[in-house]
Amino acid sequence: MMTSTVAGGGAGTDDFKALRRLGATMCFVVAIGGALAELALAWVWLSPGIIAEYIAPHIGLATGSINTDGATRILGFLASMIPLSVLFYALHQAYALFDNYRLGQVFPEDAPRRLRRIGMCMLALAVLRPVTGAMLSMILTAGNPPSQYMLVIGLSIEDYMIALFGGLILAIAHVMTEAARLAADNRLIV
Amino acid sequence: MTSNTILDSGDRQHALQMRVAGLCHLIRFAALAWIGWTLLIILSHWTDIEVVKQSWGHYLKIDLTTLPHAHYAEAFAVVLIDWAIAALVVVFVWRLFGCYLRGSIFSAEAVEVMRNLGWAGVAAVAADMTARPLLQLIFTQHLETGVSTGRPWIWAEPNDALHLLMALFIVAIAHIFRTGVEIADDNRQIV
Repeated sequence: MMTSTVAGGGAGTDDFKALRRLGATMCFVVAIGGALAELALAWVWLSPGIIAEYIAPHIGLATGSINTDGATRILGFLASMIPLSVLFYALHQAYALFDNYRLGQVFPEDAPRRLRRIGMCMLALAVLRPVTGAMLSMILTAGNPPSQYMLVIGLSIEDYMIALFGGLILAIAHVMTEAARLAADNRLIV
Repeated sequence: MTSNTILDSGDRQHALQMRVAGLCHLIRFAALAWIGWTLLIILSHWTDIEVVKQSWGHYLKIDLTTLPHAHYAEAFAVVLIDWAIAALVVVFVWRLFGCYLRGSIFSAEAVEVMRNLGWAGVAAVAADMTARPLLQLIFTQHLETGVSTGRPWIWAEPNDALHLLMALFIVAIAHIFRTGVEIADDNRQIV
C-alpha cells in the first residue's frame, strides 16, 4: 500500500477534510481513553471498598476473605498494570494510526502493520486477563492464614470476546496486506 | 502482454482467496462459537427459575423467593433480546468476511458492512447497559414499596468502556476506509 495524500481542491476534498477531522477526533478519544483507564485503575486501588465490592467478586473471591492493606493494594495496582500496559501499547498504535489520517495520509503505508499490532495486543490482553486475575487472587489473599491462601483461575466469555476482536483486527490487517501485495505483484508483472 | 503473464480478475480473486480463506473462515466460525457459547450460558442459567432467584437475589441482596413467574418470564425475555442484539455483531462479521472471501476488500460493500458491524457493536453495548437496570426493576417490581436492593442501579461496568472503544474503533476504521474508497474512485474517474 502506498502512502499518499490528496492536495488541493477538486473531487474528494470534502471527504479528505472529513477524514482529517475524524483522524483528529479519534486521536483525542484514544488519548482521553488511555488517561481515563489509568485514572480509573489508580482510583480502584486507592479504594478498599471498591476492591471488596467489585474486584474480589469479579475474580471469584468472597468479599470477607481478602486483605486490602497498603502493600497489598500497591502490589495489586502493579499486577493490574501488566494488562493495562498492553492496552496502552494498543492505544499508542491506534493513536499513531489515526494521526496519519489527521496529517492527511489517505493510504498510510504502515496502516496494516499498526492494525496487526493492535490485533496482537488484544489477543495478548485476552490471555493476560485471566493470568492477572489469578495473580490478584494470590495477592489479595496473601495476608490470610496459610490455609486460606487462594489461587483462582477463571476463563470468561469476556476474554474470548476480546480475543475475537483481536482476531478480527488481525484478519482485516492480513486481508488488506495480501490484497495490496497481490495488486503490487500485478503492477510489477504488467 | 500475454495471457500467461497477466493475472485476470478471476485469477486475482482466486489467488487472494487462497491466501486469506483460512483466516476468514476461522474468524467467521470463532464468532459463531462465541454467540453459541453465550446462548448456552444464558439457557443453562435462565431455564431454572430457582437458580435465577438464588443468584439474582444474592447479587441484588434481596429475597426473591416470591418472584412471580410473569416477572421471571419478562426478565428472561429481556436477556434474550439483549442476546439477539449481540448476535447482530456475528451476522455482520459473517458478511464482512464473506465479502473478503469473494475478493471484495477495498469496496463500498465491504466498508458498508464493516460500518454496520461497528454500529451493531455499539448497539450491543447500549443494550447491555439498558438491560442491567431493567432486570433490577423487573426483579424488584413485586416487592413492597420501600424495600430497596442492597445495590445501586447499575448502568455501566468498566468493561463497557472497553467494548464501546472496540466498537467505535471499527466504526472509525470503516469510515476511514469508505473515505479512502471514495477518494480512490474519484481519482480513477479524473484519470
